[in-house]
Amino acid sequence: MIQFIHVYKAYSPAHYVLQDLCLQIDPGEFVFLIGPSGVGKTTFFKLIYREELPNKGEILVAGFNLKVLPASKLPYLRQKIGIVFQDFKLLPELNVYENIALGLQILGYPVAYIKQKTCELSEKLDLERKLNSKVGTLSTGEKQRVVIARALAHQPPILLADEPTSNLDARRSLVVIDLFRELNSQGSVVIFATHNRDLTNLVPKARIMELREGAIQERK
Amino acid sequence: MLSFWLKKTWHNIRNNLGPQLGCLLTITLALGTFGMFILLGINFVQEVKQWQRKIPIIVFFNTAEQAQLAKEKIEKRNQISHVNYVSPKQSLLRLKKWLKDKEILLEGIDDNTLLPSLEIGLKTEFYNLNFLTTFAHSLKKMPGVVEVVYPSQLFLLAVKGWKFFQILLFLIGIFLSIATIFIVSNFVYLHFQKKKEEIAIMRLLGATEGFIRMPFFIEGILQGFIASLLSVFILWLFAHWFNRQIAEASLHFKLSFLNLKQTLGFIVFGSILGYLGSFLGTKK
Ligand SMILES: Nc1ncnc2c1ncn2[C@@H]1O[C@H](COP(=O)(O)OP(=O)(O)O)[C@@H](O)[C@H]1O
Ligand SMILES: [Mg+2]
Repeated sequence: MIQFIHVYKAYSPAHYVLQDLCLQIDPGEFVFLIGPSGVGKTTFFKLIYREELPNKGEILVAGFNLKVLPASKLPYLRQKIGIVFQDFKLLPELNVYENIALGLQILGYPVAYIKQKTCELSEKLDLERKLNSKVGTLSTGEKQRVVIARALAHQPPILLADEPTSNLDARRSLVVIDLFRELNSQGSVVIFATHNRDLTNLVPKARIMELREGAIQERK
Repeated sequence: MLSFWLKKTWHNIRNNLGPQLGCLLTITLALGTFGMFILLGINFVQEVKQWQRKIPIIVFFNTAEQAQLAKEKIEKRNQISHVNYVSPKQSLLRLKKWLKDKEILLEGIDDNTLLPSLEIGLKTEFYNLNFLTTFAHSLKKMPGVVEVVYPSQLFLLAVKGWKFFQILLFLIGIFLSIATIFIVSNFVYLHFQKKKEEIAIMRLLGATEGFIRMPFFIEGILQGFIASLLSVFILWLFAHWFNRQIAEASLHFKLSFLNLKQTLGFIVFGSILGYLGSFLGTKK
C-alpha cells in the first residue's frame, strides 16, 4: 500500500530530516510512528500525500508512483487518504457539519449518505451539539475531533493521523483509537504518529516504527 | 455536489459583497452600453426598411397614353404592390406644395412642361439593389419612357450606412465583451487569491480543480446574468422614457425595443461572458 525506496528528504541542503528510508506498509496494517517532536513525523506524512517531494528516492502509494504523478491525478491520490492534520486545517467559514462533510462532498456522495455518515461520526465524537457552530468558536479539543471525523468520514484506504489525541483527554483518546481500529479492521492502513509511547499499548497487534535521526527502527 | 457548490457560491457572495457589487455595476455599464448600440442598430434597420417602402420608383413618359399602356403591363408583374398614374397637373400641385414659399422657382413651369408619370411600389421582399437595377433597366426599354428614377443612391447609402454601423457594432461589441471578461476575470482572480488558504485545504482533501473552481464559475455566470438582466431593464426604461417624452413631443420616430429572442440572446451572451471571465480568473 505504501512503499518508500531509499528516500531522502531535506528542507535545507545537507540537513536531512529523513535519510535513506526504506519501508513497506501493507493493507490492513496499524502502524504507530513514534518519536519526539521535530524528528520528521509530519514530514513523513507530507511525503505520502505528496505535499512534499523527496530529494532522492521513490515513493509508491495506493498504486501511484508519486515521482511521476501528474498534477491532474494528484486529487485521486489524496481522495484515497484521510488525514488528521496536526494543525487541523479546518475551513473557518464553514460550520462543524460542513467541515466534517467536506471530504464526502468532494467525493460526490449523495446528500442522504453524507448526512447519515456525518451525524453518526459526530455522535461518536461527542460533537452533535456543535454541528451548527462555526469552527472558529470551538475549543482546541473540539477542533481536533472535527478533523478526526472529517478524515474518517469517507472510510479512506489510508488514514494518516498526526498527533490526533494531543488535545484530548484519556476517555476521548480511547474513543478515537477505537474508531481507528474499526476502520483498520475493514482493511485500511492506519498510521498513527505520536510522541507518546504509552499509546502503543492500546493496540496490541500494531506495528511500531520509531523515527530517530532520519531513520526508522522497528520495535516490538 | 450541486447543493454544496450553490451553498459555497452563496457564502462567497455574502462574504465579498462590496467588490461583488462593484464588479456587477461595472459590467452592467459595459453590457448596457453594448445593448444601447444594439438597440440603435435594430431601430436603424427598421427605419431604413420603412423608408424604402415609402420611396417609389418613378417613370416619366412622353404621353399619357403611353403611360396608361405601360401601367397595365407593369401591373401584371407579381413583384409590384401598386402602380399609380400621376398626371402633369398632379405633379405641378405636388411641386407647389413642396416648394411652398419658393414659388419663384416654379416660374415658367406649367402642366405642359411637366411629363406624365407612373409611381411604382414594389413588394417589400423585392427591395434590394439587384432587383431595383434590373427592373429599372427593363422599364427604360418600354415605349415612350423618358426617364426612370429609382432609389438606388439612397438605397446604396442606407446599405453602406448599415454596413458601417454593423462593423462599428461589431468592434464595440468585441471591445465591450473583452472589457467585461477582463473585469470579471480580474474580480474572480482577486476573490480566488483571497480564498487561497481555503483552496489549499480543499486540494489536500483531494478536491479536483474543477470542484474548486465551480463556485467561482457559478459566481461569474451569475454576475454576467444579473448584469445583462439589469442592463436590459435599464434599456427598456430608457426606450419607454424616450417614447413617452421625446417621440411623442417632436419626432415621428418611436424606438422599438428588442424582441424576446434578442433579449434572451443578450442575457445568454452576458452569462457566457461572465463564465469566460471566471474561467480566466481561476486559471493560474
Ligand atoms: N517547511 C519546512 N521548512 C523547513 N524546515 C522544516 C519544514 N517543515 C519541517 N521542517 C523541519 O524539519 C524537521 C522535522 O519536522 P516535522 O516533520 O514537522 O517533525 P515532527 O512532525 O516529528 O515534529 C524539523 O526540524 C523542522 O524544523
Ligand atoms: Mg509534527
